[in-house]
Amino acid sequence: MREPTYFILAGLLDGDLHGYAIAKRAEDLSGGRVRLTAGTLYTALDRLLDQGLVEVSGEEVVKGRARRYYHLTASGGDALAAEAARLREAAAVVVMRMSVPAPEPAR
Amino acid sequence: MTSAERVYRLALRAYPPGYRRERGDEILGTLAEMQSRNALPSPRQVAALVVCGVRERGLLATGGTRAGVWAEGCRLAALVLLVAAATASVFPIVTDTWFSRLGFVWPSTPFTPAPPMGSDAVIHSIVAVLLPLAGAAALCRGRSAIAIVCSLLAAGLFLSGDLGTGLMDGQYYQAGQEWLGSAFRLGDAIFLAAPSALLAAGFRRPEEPAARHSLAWLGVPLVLGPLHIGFFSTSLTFWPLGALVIAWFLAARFSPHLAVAAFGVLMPTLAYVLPTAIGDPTVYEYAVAVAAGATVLALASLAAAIAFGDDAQLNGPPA
Repeated sequence: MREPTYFILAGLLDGDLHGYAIAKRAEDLSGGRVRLTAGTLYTALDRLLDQGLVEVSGEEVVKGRARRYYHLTASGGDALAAEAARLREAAAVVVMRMSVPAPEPAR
Repeated sequence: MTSAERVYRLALRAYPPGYRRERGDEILGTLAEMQSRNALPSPRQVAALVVCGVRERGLLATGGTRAGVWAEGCRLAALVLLVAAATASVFPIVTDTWFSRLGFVWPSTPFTPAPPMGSDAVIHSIVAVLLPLAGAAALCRGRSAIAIVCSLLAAGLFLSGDLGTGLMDGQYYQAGQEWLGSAFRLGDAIFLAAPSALLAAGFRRPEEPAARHSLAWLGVPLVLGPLHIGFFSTSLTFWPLGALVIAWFLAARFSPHLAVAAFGVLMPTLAYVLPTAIGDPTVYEYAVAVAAGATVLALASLAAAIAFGDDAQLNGPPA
């Protein structure tokens, strides 16, 4: 899973969000690393909708424009949890090795 | 409507109309929220809209499958080549009318005008314009089989006919360099037959109807014609090739089927342009020809990687 997808799904853990709120949340959660444009945001959302990881939970009209809310599905939550576990394991490998002092090189 | 919104609306036109109807309003709303008040449109947002829009069109045309990418890429390349062949076939008619019949010669023109073409050659030349155009029209209507026949007939006509000049330039025939004339003929025939080969490679099964293209493609010769004549009368033969290589890289960035199409156009164009490098052996042109050959080889492997890569890569841009 790529980083923007990960943070889009992570943003939806707190509840249903609309397009702009998803982009803002992904940027905050990633410490400013993931800065989505409208084009890439909706391409990613379309793919996640196709894969069933996200669904449209509601629609309203704000300032004369349609606004859709997106909801993390159960399989979306599973995929996110699996990715988080993978990242944790990958990080543990490095953290564990760095916490043990390296052996003295043989002379 | 703010100026930023006007620009974003324009950029949204890169998306397929159906997608725009369904999602355009929502995307504009999100853009309005991302945009600070009265700010200028963001080039980053505009570029992303154009790239994602063209990718969406690519997904629509190809269905996001390897077979679809290959078929649609080949069809698009064939369409471009048919239109280019029609454009190039106008060249002998224009030079014949302009130089030989009307007697107009620019002071810097490097060759003496040939005697006017015979009526047979004129008819041949007109048919050589109409056949590729008919093929392009058939392709726009989704009739690949008719386009294949038109392309093969055009190549056959060129090999058998006495057109007086090549598609590219008549000066080498007049200089008596027969061997070079043959090289030109072969290059021209490859160029004219290439669409049928491409269409055969990308032929779809009857249950998968080919996507239709706009008939506006038939207007392309009106733009390309003057450019073509300009290029070949000013020794800028390699510029179109360079433009194609650049188009390739841009196309690969947008959608894999465009990369296949750019490759499909590049190879026959090289076969068509290389005789010029042999006939006009300045170091510069040889160097460009070698560089172009190396580029094409590199691009061929890239095309194969894209066309036959993992289907997962085709499902939208990285996100």
